[in-house]
Amino acid sequence: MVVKDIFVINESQGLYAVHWQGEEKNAFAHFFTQMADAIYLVDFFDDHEDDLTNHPQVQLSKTEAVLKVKNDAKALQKAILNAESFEELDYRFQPLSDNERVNRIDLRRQKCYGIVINSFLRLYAVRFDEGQYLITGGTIKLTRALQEREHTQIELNKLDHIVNYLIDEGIFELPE
Amino acid sequence: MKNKMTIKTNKKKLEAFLATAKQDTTWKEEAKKQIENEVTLDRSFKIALKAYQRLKAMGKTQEWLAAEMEISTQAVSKMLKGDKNFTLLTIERLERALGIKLIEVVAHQRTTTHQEVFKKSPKVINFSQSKTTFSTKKVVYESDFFEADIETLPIAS
Repeated sequence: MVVKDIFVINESQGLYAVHWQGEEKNAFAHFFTQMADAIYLVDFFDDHEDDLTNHPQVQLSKTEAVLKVKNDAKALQKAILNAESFEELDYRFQPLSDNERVNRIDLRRQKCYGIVINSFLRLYAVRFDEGQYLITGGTIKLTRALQEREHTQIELNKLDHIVNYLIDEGIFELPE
Repeated sequence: MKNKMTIKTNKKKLEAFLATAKQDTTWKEEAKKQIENEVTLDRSFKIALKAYQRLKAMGKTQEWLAAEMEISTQAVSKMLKGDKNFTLLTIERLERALGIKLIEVVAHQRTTTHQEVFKKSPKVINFSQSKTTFSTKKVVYESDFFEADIETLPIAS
């Protein structure tokens, strides 16, 4: 996992995104491109059919799930596009876990849900207290914990990688 | 993370790090285009979705479809992703290759508006007091021929 570049998505919002080596687009553009790609979404729900069937809150067919994700991503993209400040972005994101909320202030791993009720979408970012979000990736989450599935574990790894990268670069310092 | 971490930010280094960020000039324009062409893109997506599901159900590959349609595999991939504005000719060729109907044109059906329904069937207005048995009739808006919005209104029989 290597950081190729950092992209400014919207400077007035303080929204940035990582461009991972090996990926065609930065993490933000990559996420929304995937969530509007019929091939990707059909294959995803074919591969995760059991998770969809066993979802505790939502009972949907695979076709309904594809359309839900596609429309949800479209709405989320619109909401982010229309956000005018860091505060508006901040309203959409929340700490990755209660542990993160309690134990960490700056350099916090955050997540953003889609717009619809019981959204499957998650957009992940690291939050800087100086007023920036750095998007690391996003995915469809059908299970409770990120560690339960490979594709969600990868997103967790990306978040951790960026946190460590920023510490290694001396941009953030952990207490002794 | 055992205790609440007070992480120290090196502001100068953070500024320098963010200053190296490249500008993504494409996503906002792409997103705006998507919003402007929302209806068309939504329909394209639904066509692509149905086509790709059918292709998978047939156990065929995108390469097979490319050969059937006599186009490149890249063109098939772009088409099945669902962000392409389909021409009628492309849809016809897709339908022939996959052996299914992807769109249906609503034609030769009488266009009826709500107003016309109520004008012609005044009993409907007082249907709560009427003892008339009601049946249903489909109202199709011809202007939306692609994927007609079909409502069902109670009409006095």
